[in-house]
Amino acid sequence: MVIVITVFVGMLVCLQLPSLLKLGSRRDLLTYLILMGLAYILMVLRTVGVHLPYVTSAIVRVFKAVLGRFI
Amino acid sequence: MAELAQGRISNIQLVLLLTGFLLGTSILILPGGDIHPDTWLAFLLGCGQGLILAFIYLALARRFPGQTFVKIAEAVWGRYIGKIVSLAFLWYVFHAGALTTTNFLDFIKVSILPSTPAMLLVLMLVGVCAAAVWSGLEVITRCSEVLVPLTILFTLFLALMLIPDFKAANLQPVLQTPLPELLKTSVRVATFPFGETVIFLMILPFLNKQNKSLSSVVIAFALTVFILITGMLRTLGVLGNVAPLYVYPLYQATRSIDLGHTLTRLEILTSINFLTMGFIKASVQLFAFVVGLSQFLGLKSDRTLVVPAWLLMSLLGLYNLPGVAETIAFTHTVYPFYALPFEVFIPLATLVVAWLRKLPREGQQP
Amino acid sequence: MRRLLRTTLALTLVLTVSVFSSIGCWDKKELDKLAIVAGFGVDQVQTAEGDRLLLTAQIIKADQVISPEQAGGSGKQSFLTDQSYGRTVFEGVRNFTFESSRRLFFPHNRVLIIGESLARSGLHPIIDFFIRDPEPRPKQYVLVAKGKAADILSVKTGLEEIPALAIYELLQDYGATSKVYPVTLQDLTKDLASKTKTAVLPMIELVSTSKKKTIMLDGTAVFKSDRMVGELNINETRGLLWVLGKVHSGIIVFKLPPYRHDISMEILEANRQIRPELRNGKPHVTVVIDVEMIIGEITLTKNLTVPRENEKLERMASQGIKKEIRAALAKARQFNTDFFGFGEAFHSRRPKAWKTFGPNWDQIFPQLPVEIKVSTVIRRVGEATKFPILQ
Repeated sequence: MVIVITVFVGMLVCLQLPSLLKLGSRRDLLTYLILMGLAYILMVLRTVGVHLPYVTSAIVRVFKAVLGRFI
Repeated sequence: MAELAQGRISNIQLVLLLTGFLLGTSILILPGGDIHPDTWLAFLLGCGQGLILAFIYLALARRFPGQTFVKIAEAVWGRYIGKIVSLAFLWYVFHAGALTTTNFLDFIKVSILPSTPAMLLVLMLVGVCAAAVWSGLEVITRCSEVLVPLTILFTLFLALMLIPDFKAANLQPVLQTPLPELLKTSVRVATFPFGETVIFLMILPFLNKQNKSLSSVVIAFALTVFILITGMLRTLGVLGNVAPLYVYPLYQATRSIDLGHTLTRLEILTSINFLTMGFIKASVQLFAFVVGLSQFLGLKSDRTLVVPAWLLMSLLGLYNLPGVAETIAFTHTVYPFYALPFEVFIPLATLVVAWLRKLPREGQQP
Repeated sequence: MRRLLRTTLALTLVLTVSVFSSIGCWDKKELDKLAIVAGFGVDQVQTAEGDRLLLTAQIIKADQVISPEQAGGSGKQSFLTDQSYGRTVFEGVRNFTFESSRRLFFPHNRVLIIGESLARSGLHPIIDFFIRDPEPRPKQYVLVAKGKAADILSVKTGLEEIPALAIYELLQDYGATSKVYPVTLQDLTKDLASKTKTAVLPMIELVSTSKKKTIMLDGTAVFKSDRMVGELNINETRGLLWVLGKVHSGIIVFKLPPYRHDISMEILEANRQIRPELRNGKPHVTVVIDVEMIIGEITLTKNLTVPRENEKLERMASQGIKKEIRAALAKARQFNTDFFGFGEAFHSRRPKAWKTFGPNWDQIFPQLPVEIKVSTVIRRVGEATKFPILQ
């Protein structure tokens, strides 16, 4: 599965990279690569079996702790 | 800059886009919690409160014509606080998009494809939205031009098909809900779906004629509330006291259509309604996030972020909530409080500060 | 060159995605891998390991149904009855895979039959699966078997190829007599969820004569909460149907005094109203029933179509209907089960008063005064005005 994801993300990058390079904006390129890298890492982690905590569940816990009586 | 927003949208298109956006998830998850015979009244009240919110957003948009919320925040709050405010706003947009994704995922996982891997599902679902965003705002708008009338048609058709199962007695007793309870429900309805129009602060600048947007908003709200009330009445009329028992009462009610063994299994129309409207909602949210973030970071091209935003929104969709029951509980209990700062406080404070500082000043207008 | 490269890459991406999406149909269900269930039965049995649910599935053999003359000629049955055990319904359903090569497929299930002993010990533990699982449809009929559901599902009966479909048709045609009350899974769910209205289910029984076995609908099972507490016979069932407004057609037979001959009248149309009222602050129900009838058959020679006799006929028919309703009402009071839904009528139309006495409905219902007003109108007299032979 990791290979599939690597190929998938790699292909997406390969497709968009030329136009980004042509754009000639370093900021664009950097942002793109950082965010794609983040997405890639998260996807790989999930397929490997590392599950991150649920984001909205954490929000729910915070709100319940603060506003317990109103909810 | 802003090549995604090329090809401006007319007012009638705004009506349809806004309706599609509002119906997005509420066409499957009825807002306001458990259905009871007075829910329609709560819908109307919530729609009214939502209109008040919409006036705030419109006033803000008119004060700064042609500027998205990210730009407005910077102009009003100054450089640093402005950055924080727009970052918070962008988080809300991103998270709302991810929540729509989670709703998609939950529904498909529970009702249609239980054993397909979740990651593949979200990537594909949001992938369609990403393709729409890549093509630009005009494409999303044109999609809504086709899909929203279809949804209205399907909703009316389903309501018609449910007449044999409809029992008017299920709609009684009327007006027996205590007022505080009713107001609570109406506030929920105001925050979801009506208050979520705050995201249109990223869309309104790309409107052709802004002076007529008020009537478009009112028409879209009326249309939405009409569809929601139709769905609610038919669901309650068919399911009665068991409606709160089901995760998706609207879907469950359509499962009972069985006209002469031929017109049956029409619940697929409900699924189509949800998938198409959810597509529009998620696309609008993804678009707003992409455009907002690239303006925030000062990027040269909007398209840079479409693909990363697609993957990240899908992933957050996976990491939102562990299950359907939690999602629906969140929508009905915590979400109204969670959304309050983004839907009410930030726009209202921005408007007030802009008014106090007499912004925008002459000559500053772009 | 670069354009060519990009086109190739884009094509590869599209192809990979489509390959993964089309072969990766994780939830595919092929017809030849499914066992389509037409009828499903649940019983409670004692086994060596303790109480178990005995599940019986009547499975359609698709290849036999396709060519009926072949099937009839070779004497093969077009259905198959399969059984399995489990502590819960879901476990039992999965246990079918021990002996059946195909997975059970529920969306086409038409009837769910529950054994009487299980019905008497409570429906809650078994009904949840059918509501929670996305496969079973809400419009399937639910019945209680006198005896075991497994026996009923194993009998080949009537003209239909599939017995479960035969039962389904029997229930669909309940209107011919209006002495059977068909209940769908959705109706049952509503009744079980209601605070005051109690559930009823039609009963089915196996009748064996020396030659062959047949199945027959007979009466109605009455539930208190989720437990079966008693039965209504077919006449009491029609009494129930009158109050529920479900009578569409049917025959009423009575004797017109002073003659000793039977007269049968056909119900043409029936309307009912339940009027929940408060008299001196106490709940009171009036059931108003308007019936239109046709004279179906007269077995005496006197001319009854003169106005005075006509009124007498109408009065007698009304009394016959009242008698049926009173019988049902007596049973309802005996078991203290509000299967008429009087409580819900108060709840929806007298909501303020309901708040005061609603919580004590269980104590109020057995003493609830019920007034029954029936008015019958004879619309037509059939094709003959007089007794045809002797006149």
